[in-house]
Amino acid sequence: MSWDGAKLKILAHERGVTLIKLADLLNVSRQTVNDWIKGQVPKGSHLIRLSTTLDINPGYFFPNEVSEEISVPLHRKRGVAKVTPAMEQDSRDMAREYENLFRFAPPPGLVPILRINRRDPKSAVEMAGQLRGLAKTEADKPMDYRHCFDLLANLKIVIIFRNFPDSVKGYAFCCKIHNHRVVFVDNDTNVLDLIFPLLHETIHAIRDERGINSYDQEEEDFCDSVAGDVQFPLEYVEIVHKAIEGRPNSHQINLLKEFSAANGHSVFGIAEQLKKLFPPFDLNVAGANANLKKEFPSVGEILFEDQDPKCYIKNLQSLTPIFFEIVSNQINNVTTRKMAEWLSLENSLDGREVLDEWKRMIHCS
Amino acid sequence: MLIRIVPGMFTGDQFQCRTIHQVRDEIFRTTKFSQKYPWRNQYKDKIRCLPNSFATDERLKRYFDAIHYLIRNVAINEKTGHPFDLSFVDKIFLSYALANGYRMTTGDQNLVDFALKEFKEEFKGNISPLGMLNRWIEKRLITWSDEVHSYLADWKINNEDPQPDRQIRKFKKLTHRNYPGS
Repeated sequence: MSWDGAKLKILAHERGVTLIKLADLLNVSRQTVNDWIKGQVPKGSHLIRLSTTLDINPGYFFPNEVSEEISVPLHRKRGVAKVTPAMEQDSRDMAREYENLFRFAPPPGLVPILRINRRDPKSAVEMAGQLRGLAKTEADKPMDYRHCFDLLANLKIVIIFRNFPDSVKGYAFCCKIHNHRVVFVDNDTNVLDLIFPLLHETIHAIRDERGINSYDQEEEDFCDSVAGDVQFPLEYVEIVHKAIEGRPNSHQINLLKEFSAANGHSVFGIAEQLKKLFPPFDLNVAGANANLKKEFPSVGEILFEDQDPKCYIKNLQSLTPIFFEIVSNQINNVTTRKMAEWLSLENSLDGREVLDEWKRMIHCS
Repeated sequence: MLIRIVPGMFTGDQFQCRTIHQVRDEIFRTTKFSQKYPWRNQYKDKIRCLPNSFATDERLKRYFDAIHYLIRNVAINEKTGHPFDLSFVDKIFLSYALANGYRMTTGDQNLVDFALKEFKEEFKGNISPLGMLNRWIEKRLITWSDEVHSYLADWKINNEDPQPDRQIRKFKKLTHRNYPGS
C-alpha cells in the first residue's frame, strides 16, 4: 500500500525508456528519479506526469491496493436483491474512507475469537450460548437491538453507522480495516430488521480466522443458525409456541405480534425460529411484520432523535463506544468534512456543530 | 452563500464560475444547508454544473487516483503535523480543479494545504468567497445594495469560515461599508 519505487524502474524498462530519458521527459533530474526508485514518494504533480508518460494508473506504484488492510465480504442483501461486483466495490469504497481513521487508531489488541471446528446444530447452540453469556441476556429472553450493540462492544467489534448508497442493498456487513473488526450498519435499517443480520455479521467477524473473503454457503447457513439461536433462545421459542399452539391462525398471528412488540424483535424472526424448531408451523406473517415495524424506529432515527449535536454524540457513545473512542482520539486532527463523512451526517446534523460539541465534551471530561 | 447575492454566478459567463454535481448534491442534501440556508431551493435551477465526466475523463480519474493514493500513503500536513485526510467529495472537487486548471473557492485550509504541497505546479490557487465578491464588484459585474449587504450578516450568524483580512479591507474600500460577516 505504500509507494514502491522499484516498480518504476521495472516499468520504465518494460516501456523501453531509460531512466535518463525518463528524467528528461519529466523535466526532473536523474537524481530525482533515483530518489523515487529508492523510495521517496513523488509530489502529486510528478506522480501525474509519471503516470501519464508511462501510461499507467498511479495506483500501480502503490501495490496491494486491494490488500489485507481492508476486506469486505459483503454477501447478505435485502430481499431479492443480488450481490453484484459493483455492490461489493461500493462497500469496499465506503470502508476505504475509514482507512486512515483505523490506521492511526490504537491497535485492537487481543480480541475474542470463537473457534468451532464443526458446523453442526450442536456447535451452533454451543456458540450461541457463549455469545448470549457475553451479552448477559436472561436465559428466556430474546435479544433486542441494545443487547446486540452491547454484545458487539464486548467482542471489541467497531460499529459504524452509515447511510448506505442505494447500490449497497444490505442492512449490515462486516469487514476488517487495519486489523480492526468493523461492522457497518445502514442508518435506514429498522431496528427489528437489524438484529438478525447484525448477529450474522458478528459471527462472521469473530470467526474471521477462517478467511472472510470467500463465500461459503455452509458457513452462511452456520452463521444463520447461530444468529437465530443467539437471538431466540430455545426457552423463549418454547414459551411462544406453547402460547400459540392450537389457536386459530389469526389469533396466532396476533399473539406473535404481541410477543414481538414486547420483546423488540420481528414477527418474521420468531416465525422462522418456530418453523425451524416446530416444523408443521408455517404461518404467513408478512403483514403483521410490516405493521409492527412501523412502531419501531430505524437506527438513524434513534441516533438523531433530537436533532441535537449533544444528544447525537451521547447516543453514538452509548451505541458504539469503541468507534466513539477511536474518533475522539483523532477529533483534533480531523476536518469538518471528513468527520461528517465518517459519521454520515449529511442528512441529519451540521458537521461543524457536531465537531465543536464533540471537542467541547472531550475538553470538559 | 454567494449564490444568494449573485444568483447568476453559475449561469452568467462573465462570472466564470463552475461547480460539480457532488457539491450541488451536498447543497440540497446536507442539514447545514437545509437548516441554515432554507432559501437555497429558490436557486436550484441556477446551479449549473460541469459535465459529470468522472467515469470517462482519464485525466480527471488520474488526478483522483493520485490524490487518493497520496492520502493513503499518509501525506503529512507540515503546518499541523497531522496526516491529510480528505473526504470523497474533497478529492473529486480537487481533481476537477487540477485537471481543468480552475481556481478553487473553499474555506477548508487543509484542502488548500494539500493542493499546495502536492500539486504546486498546476494548482491555480484558492480564492475566498469575499475575494470573489470583491472581484465582481471591482469589475462592475454586480451592484452592491442594502439588500445584498444584509445577506452578508448571515455568514457570521451561520458560523461560516472567517474571510481574509486583506479581502475585508478591500471590501470596505470598494463598498464604503463595514463588512458584517465572519
